[in-house]
Amino acid sequence: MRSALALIRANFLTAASYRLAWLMSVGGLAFQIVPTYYVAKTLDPYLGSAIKGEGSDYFGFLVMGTVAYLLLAAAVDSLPRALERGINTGTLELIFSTPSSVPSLLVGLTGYELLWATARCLVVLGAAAVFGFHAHWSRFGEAAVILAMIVATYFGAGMIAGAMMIAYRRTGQLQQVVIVGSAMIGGVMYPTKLVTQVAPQWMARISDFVPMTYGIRAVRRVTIDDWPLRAVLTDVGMLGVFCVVFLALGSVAMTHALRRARAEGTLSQY
Amino acid sequence: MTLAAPADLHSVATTSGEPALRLHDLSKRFKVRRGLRETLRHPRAATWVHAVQHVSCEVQPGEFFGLLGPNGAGKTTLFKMLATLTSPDEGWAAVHGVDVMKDPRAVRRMIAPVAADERGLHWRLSALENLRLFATLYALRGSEMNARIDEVLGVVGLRGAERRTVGTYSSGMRQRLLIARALLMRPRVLLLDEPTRSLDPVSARDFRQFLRGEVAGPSGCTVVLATHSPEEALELCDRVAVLNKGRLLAVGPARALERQYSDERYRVRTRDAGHRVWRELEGRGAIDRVVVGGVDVDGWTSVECHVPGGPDEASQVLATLAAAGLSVAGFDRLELSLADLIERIVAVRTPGSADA
Repeated sequence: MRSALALIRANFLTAASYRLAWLMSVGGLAFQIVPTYYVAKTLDPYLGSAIKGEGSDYFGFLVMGTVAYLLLAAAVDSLPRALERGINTGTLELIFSTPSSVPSLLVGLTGYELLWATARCLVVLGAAAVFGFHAHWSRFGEAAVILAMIVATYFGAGMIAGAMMIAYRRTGQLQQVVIVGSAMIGGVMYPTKLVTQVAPQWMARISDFVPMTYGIRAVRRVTIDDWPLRAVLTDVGMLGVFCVVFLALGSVAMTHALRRARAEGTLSQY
Repeated sequence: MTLAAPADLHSVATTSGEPALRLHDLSKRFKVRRGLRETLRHPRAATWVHAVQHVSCEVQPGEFFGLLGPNGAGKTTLFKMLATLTSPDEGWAAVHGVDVMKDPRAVRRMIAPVAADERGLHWRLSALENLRLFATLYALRGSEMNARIDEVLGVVGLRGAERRTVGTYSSGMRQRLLIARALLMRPRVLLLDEPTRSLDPVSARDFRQFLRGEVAGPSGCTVVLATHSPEEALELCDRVAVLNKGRLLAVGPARALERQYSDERYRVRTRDAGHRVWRELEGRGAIDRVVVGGVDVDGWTSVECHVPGGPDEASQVLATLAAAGLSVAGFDRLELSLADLIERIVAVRTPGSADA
């Protein structure tokens, strides 16, 4: 655990040394809420009925979608990017030659990105509150649990991408497929019901196999519609199943990739 | 001195107790990446490069051991197997009795690899932050960690510069920081892979003095140094091993190897390079392969020759030159450079070579 914290601290200090980029990423995100607000207000009359059961207005729907998207992107992309950076800078091989355990190193490599994404989510929520976003803030503890499950689930996908980075030095756009796919048909920016109205049936069915579908629906019901956690247990249960499966697959892929890299001597090759 | 073909190298260890490093029949090969056309034409075929082949040797605790060889000799692969970063295909290696494959985490608590590559540092962080990070990864805590960081900063001479970002350091300072980082956990074995590769000659000399004076001696840890540099091996190493194409060709003290493979060449500084006595000495076989150099500004000429009879005959040659009334200002045995030494051992030991 201390190893993970030390790596998170080092990554924080490195990121903070690029001060302008650091400030702009926060400022830009807060500013982004302005067009989001007006676009949401414009589309609200058309989408109001479609989002029933996941919030009363489209702005709130989009705000929680943005929060989930930020966490999803960080969970999927942080590990392969950290590994790629470590390979290119030569630090990866060195940290793997220390007695620290591999899981703690992986958490340490990605922890800063995940914490930073969480901070950015808070900026989004704060900025949205200024624009009149109404949420049941007392339910945010329960929402945090569900969001943590979303992160854990997609971290499993990130581990598979990370394993590909270690084994092949490329991920073949896997992160983009997962992030964009989950956002498009997982109900992040518009309700999945709309997909069933327009797209072919088989495509609509895919959303049933996207963890985000269950995660974001549960989060919105808890935070916007004030549902208790027990009322969304079905969605949370499905998310839990995905979480176990994705993490297991990610662990197997990572173990195999590290073994292969050690056998082929490619742990630090570009 | 131990000078042996790979099969004889088990006998290198002589002291009692567990050696710091024990390598037994260690081998590693890598698959060569093939082009698309070749892969389609022969999908099942594979070409392999044998990076390390059946290497067996032992290094004793506290020893400064050199690993010499040309590019592609297998030095870095050997290091990576010892550091548990690459797994061997055959054979085994143990660090203070712990098998690198069976218990890699225990090995990582004892062995510290130091690559010459400065990229391995976090350049946007200060030296202190770099050391804090790795001290934590090496499981150092609290006051012990701070004391150890201060200690290694003092050892490598970076105390006072520890709050500067690594990006502002010179190459020499970064090399010292790499060593400091490796010393944090008090390693029992330190693996140095071409540590002076990016240093200028003066910095390299200072760095060698630092290695001998501050790293190997006081800490008592075993140091294995992979190098191309003859000076480094002669200056630092108790023993050296010569690797070529993955095979261990010879092991022994550098000076002893040099003597064994030296070809008894001498340089005579004289004003009478054309004197008949040279032909007489050649005629009776006391000298051969005579090479006459140019005349220097003072009118002296260098004559290099091979004396097949060795030092005893060389003294006779000198006496003959003096008796003939030659002006001789110098008579020196030409020391074989380590580069020549490697070349000669490689030529002698490599099966199929003309000298083998």
